[in-house]
Amino acid sequence: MWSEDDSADDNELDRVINEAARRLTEGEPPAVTTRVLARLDQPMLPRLLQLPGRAILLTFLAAALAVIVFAIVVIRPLVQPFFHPSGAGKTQPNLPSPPPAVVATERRQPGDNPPEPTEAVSPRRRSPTVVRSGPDAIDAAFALPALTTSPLVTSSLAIDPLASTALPAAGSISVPPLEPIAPLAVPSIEEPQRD
Amino acid sequence: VDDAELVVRARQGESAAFGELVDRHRTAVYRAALAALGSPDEAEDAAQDAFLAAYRRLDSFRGASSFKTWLLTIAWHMAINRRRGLGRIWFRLVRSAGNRAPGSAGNRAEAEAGAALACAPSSEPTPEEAAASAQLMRIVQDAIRGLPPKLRDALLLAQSGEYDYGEIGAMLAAPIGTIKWRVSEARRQIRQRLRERGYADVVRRR
Repeated sequence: MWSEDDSADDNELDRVINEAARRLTEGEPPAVTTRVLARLDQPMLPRLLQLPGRAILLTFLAAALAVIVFAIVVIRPLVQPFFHPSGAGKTQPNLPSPPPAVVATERRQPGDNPPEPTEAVSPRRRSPTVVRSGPDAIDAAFALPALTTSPLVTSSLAIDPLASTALPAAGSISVPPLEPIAPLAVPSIEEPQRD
Repeated sequence: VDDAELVVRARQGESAAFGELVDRHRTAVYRAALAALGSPDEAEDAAQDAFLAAYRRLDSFRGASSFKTWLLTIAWHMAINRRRGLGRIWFRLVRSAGNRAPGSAGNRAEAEAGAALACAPSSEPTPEEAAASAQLMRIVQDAIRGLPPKLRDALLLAQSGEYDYGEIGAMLAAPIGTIKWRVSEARRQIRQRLRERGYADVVRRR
C-alpha cells in the first residue's frame, strides 16, 4: 500500500535527485562569445574533417600510412637479399626461366644454299659489358652476348610469263520463229432467269 | 532588440549582431551540450561549433520556432554527434567498468558516506556530515549517469532550469508528454536504486 511515509520519502529523494541533476549541468561557458566571433572569419574546414567520426577516419588513415612505411622500411630490405644471386647463406631460389626467344627465319627456295644458323633474338638486348649491382644483379646473370646482325640475303624470285591463248570465235545464235497465236473464242454470257 | 531583428542584421553580415545572439544564449547552449557530454571542456567546444553552424545556416532559419529553440536543436544534435565518437564510447566503457568493480574505491566511499549520514545527528552539520552529504550527491550523480540516455537527457535538461518542456521536446524530437514521462521515470529508477542500497533512510534522516 502507498503510504504518506513513502510519498514523503519520494519527495525527499526527488529533491536530492533534482539537486544532483542541476549540479551536473551548472556552469557558465568562459569566453564563448569572443571565441565564436574570432572563428567566424576563419575559413571552414573541409566537410570530411567535420564529420563526427573524423577520429575514426584519421585513425584509419594513420594506420594505412604506418603499414606503407612499414612495408617500405622493414620488408623491402628483407626481401631484396633473398633474390640476390651472390647472397651468402641464402638459398638459391628457383629462378624464372629466361624469356622465350624469337627465332628469325627467312623463306628460302628449294635448291638454295643450306640455311645459315638462326639467331635467337631476345626482346631484351643487353650488352655483356654492362655491370649492374644491387637488385639488378639477377638480370646480369642472364645477360646474352651481343648480337651480330647481318643483312638478310634474299634471292630474286623467277616468275614465268603468263601464256595467253586466243579464244575461238563464237557462232551466231539462231532463234526459231515464234508460232502465231490463234484468237480465243469467248462465248457470250447469258442472263439468269428469275422466277 | 529581439532575437528576430538580430537575426536579420546578422544575415546582412553584421557580426556584432550575431555576437549579441551568442551572448544571450551561450549559457543555454553550453548547458545543453554539458547535459549531453558530461564534460565542461567538450561542452564548450560543442557550444562553439553549434554557434558557428548556426551562423552559417542563418538563411535556413524561417522563424517557425523561436531562435533559441532553433539554436538549441542545432546544439543538441552536434553534441549528440560528438557523444557518439569512438573515443567517448571507450572512455565511458572504462569508467563504468571501474565504477562497478566490487570492492572498488567508489563502493567503499559509498558505504562510508551512508554510514556517516546514518549516524550523524540532525542538528548542526558536522564536517563528517558535510563530507558525507557531498558523497551522497556524487552517488546520486553516478546513478543519473548510469540511466539510459533518453531518460538521463530528459532529466538533466529539465533540471538545468534553462528550458521549458517545449524546448526540450524540440531538442529531443519527442512530444511534451513523452518528455514528462521520461523525467518521471528517471526519478523513479534512481529512487529505486537508492532504496536498494539503503539510502532512502539516509535521506529521510537528513
